[in-house]
Amino acid sequence: MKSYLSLIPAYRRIHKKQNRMTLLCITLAVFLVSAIFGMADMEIRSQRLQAVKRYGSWHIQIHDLTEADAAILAQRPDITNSSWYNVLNYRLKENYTLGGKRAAVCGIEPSMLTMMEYELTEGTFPETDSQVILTNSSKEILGVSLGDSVTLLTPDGNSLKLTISGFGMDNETAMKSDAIIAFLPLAGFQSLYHLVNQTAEDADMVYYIQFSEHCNIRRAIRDVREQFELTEEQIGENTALLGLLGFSNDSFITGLYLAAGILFLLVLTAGVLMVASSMNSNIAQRTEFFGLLRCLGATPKQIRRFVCLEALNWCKTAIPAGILLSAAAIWVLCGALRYLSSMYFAEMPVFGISLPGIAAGIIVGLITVLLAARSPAKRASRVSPVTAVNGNADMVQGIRKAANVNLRIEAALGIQHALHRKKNFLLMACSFALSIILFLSFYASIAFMHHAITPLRPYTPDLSVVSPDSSCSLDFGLAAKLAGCPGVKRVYGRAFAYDVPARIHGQEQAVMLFSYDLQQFNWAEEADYLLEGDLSKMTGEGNYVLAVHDAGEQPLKVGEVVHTDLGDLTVAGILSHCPIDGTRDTERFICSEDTFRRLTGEQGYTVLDIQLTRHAADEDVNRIRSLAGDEALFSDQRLSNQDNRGAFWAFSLFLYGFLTVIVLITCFHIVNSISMSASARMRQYGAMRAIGMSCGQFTKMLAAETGTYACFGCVIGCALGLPLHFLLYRYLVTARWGTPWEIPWGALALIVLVVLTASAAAVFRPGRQIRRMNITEVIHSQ
Amino acid sequence: MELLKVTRLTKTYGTGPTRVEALKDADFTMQKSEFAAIVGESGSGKTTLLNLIGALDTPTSGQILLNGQDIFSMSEQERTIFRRRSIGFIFQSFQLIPELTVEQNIIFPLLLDYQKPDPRKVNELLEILGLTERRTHLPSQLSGGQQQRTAIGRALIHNPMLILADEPTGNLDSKSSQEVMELLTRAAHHYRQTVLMITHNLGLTAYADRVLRVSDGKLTDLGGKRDEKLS
Repeated sequence: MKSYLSLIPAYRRIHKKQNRMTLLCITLAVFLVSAIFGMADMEIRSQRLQAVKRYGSWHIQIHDLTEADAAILAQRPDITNSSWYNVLNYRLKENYTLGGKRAAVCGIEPSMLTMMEYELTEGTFPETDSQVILTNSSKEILGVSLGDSVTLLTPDGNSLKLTISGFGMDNETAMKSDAIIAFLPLAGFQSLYHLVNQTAEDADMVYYIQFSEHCNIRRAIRDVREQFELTEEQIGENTALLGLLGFSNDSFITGLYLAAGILFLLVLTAGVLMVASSMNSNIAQRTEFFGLLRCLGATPKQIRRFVCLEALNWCKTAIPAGILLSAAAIWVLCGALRYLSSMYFAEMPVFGISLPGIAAGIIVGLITVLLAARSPAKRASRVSPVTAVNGNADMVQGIRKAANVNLRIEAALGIQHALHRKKNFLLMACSFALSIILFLSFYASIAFMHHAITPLRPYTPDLSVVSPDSSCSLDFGLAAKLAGCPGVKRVYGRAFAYDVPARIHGQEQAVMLFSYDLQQFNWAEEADYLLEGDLSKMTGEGNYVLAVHDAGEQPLKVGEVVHTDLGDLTVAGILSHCPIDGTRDTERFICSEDTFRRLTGEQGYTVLDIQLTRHAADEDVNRIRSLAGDEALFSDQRLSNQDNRGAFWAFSLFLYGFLTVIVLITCFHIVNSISMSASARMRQYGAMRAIGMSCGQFTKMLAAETGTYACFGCVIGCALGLPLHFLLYRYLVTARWGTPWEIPWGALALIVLVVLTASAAAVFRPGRQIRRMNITEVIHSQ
Repeated sequence: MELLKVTRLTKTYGTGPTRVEALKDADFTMQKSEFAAIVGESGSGKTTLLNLIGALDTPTSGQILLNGQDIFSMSEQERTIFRRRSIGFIFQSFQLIPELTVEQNIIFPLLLDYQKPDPRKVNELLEILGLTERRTHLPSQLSGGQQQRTAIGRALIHNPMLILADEPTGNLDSKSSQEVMELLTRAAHHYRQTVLMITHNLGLTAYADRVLRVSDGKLTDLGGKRDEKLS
């Protein structure tokens, strides 16, 4: 032995069993932190992949930038890619056609393809003004191949002959709309613009920029704005990507960060509390051992050092074990993610290693252990040498108040054991409470997920038949015909009146009015989309409408009357969701089919949505397509639904993964804590057994002690967890979708049940230990 | 009247080369209200004998009859209740429950039996033990002597058939030792209790009616009162 600290490994070898519980506790704490951070890292990676696939990897777009400024900008070392971009017929509402199919035409530079993560499957980028890249689906739709010529017709009848230089990936939106996307080089795009607008002036292009990932993007954006004296309106941001990179200014994203920060602190606190309470129990078991060290001449400082070094020694085993466990959990999740949504997550590694997760596990593990060791170390250093001599370690624990023996003695002692050491009681009750707080806090993100990505809304169709001119041109009887097709589960239609002049809050604006059938009103009710108001009015007489929630400054209220050119509309309710995305300036109103016909005089539908049965085949879809006719637009959303469902499951997987980790750790922690608490009193229990306490009475005493921790833990957990759930819910959900907060009774009942069940189960192990106890050995042990 | 009968009691620990015979064929009896002391060197087997009689440990062979009942033919639950009602323990390190006051510690065996303590008897016992003033104190607020007196009170509260005292003065100074022994004998006589006490201190055998010696696991009955010269 080189120093007194060499006693640590020697002591550890002999007292393996005593240390096992503390080791398990540190392992679990590291697992909790590492798994949650690792999962969060993987989730951010997967979200980034999704964001890049959906929106591209560009960071900002600048409107009204001069070419000279753009040339200077492109030279900046912190910009990796930049390109001019514009699009004609973005919403596919104008009559641009390629071979008779609707088309959107984009003007780009080669670097834009990189920024849009757009891959050419065949051919090259256009080298001349008359060359074009088309989406893959056009090969089948138009029957063309590389080098063929196609004619682009503009709405005013002009034509432009183009040669296909390449084919690129299909676009989900284009597929949905049964349209083709054509990519022209900048010069070609400008020629088209001149042709369409009969002008010599160039189109106003938007300049897209991708910054280097190693620079501070927020600072770079500010710098660009100041350097070129740009206004805020001139700059648009890729909010989703910037948010995931941590550079967003969006208040919603800031709310998300705040929520993540709160969750981080909670996980950290949970780790510290878990390790602290286990170390406290460990020290309590060894009061006489520390008394002996003091007796032999160890100073309080040396004892403190001993305890801290011992704790660090445990880390040598516990931290790698916790990290390995978390890595295994993350691999399972990543594997599941790739399986569930191969389109988005093909790039996710199956055996992905999350460096931030591992680093968090190590750092938080070490800091947690050192922080947690401070209090027990102090306690150990305060042990009097007399303790070792007189063998009455329990007497020096500062009990100030006697038990209340008016209760049954085992219950009285159990409650007293729980309550008599305030610090220990607080640690235990708080660690029970923290499980509830953590669970409720993370549970808020489940609500966020259901609002943010939910492809499974009841009204999501598999196929849609859409009026080509967005009028009510679809025959009313078509719905019944389609419903009779094999493979069709249900058909439901909506009729639209766009740009209806209206006056809201004294301001003139154009609103959108559309109809719901009974089924769609039922969905709104069943899925709890009705934030306020009454749906029963919708089927009766009167011009009642539902408004869609708007988080703007002056949201509409139930009972308000909106004056429109079609007549006065009374708001009967506010919905949180509807199938139509609104723009910032256009209010959406929903009425019954009868009301719509009465107001507009229109008899047909604008859109007929179709949901298919699970076994519907491609032939069934073809039959529906032919029944819909060539005149109507046909949209097949099966693929995107499938993929959205995958993305939804992926997100669920991570969030439910977090919750599972929390529940598992709650159970382990409760069982472990009670076991350690019982171990610390084993000698006292031995004396009680000698005096005549039966095993049944012991179990009841332990149950009373555990029950006390559990009850106080549940009360504290609910008292703090619910407000925190409310706060996070407000940041994550109410702020964005307006859904009001409600007490999450289901989640609350579940976690309280888990805590109580784990507490009941926790009594068994010490109970068995006591039954098998050698009383004489325990009484005479030092 | 014969209260305790120990017949060919043997206890061995371990097997093979590590086998230790802690007690070999011990035979003895005790009459009701008798005060016996067991003396012997450290490791001689006296505590093993006491633990076996107290049903805290099980023998390798042999029989113990307490008031005619074979304590090892009982189930664990029956033995626990028998121990609670029929045997009072006094330990060297007191083994009081730190969360209970003096009075609560004394009535603890009754509480385990869900019995209501008789306040008159509790007061009387506190009076005899000189703890009336300290009845609401916690063990941590007592001296060693007071703690051991509380433990004596706990052993006497339900008039057990037998009191087993394991070095009751082992943790006390000489003045407190004398006080505790005088109290133990006085209380035992007052309540007509049978006491079996282990001690290192041969001077304490003066309080006993009879002395037994254990040496290398063998029990010898030394008969009547002993003094230090007999050792």
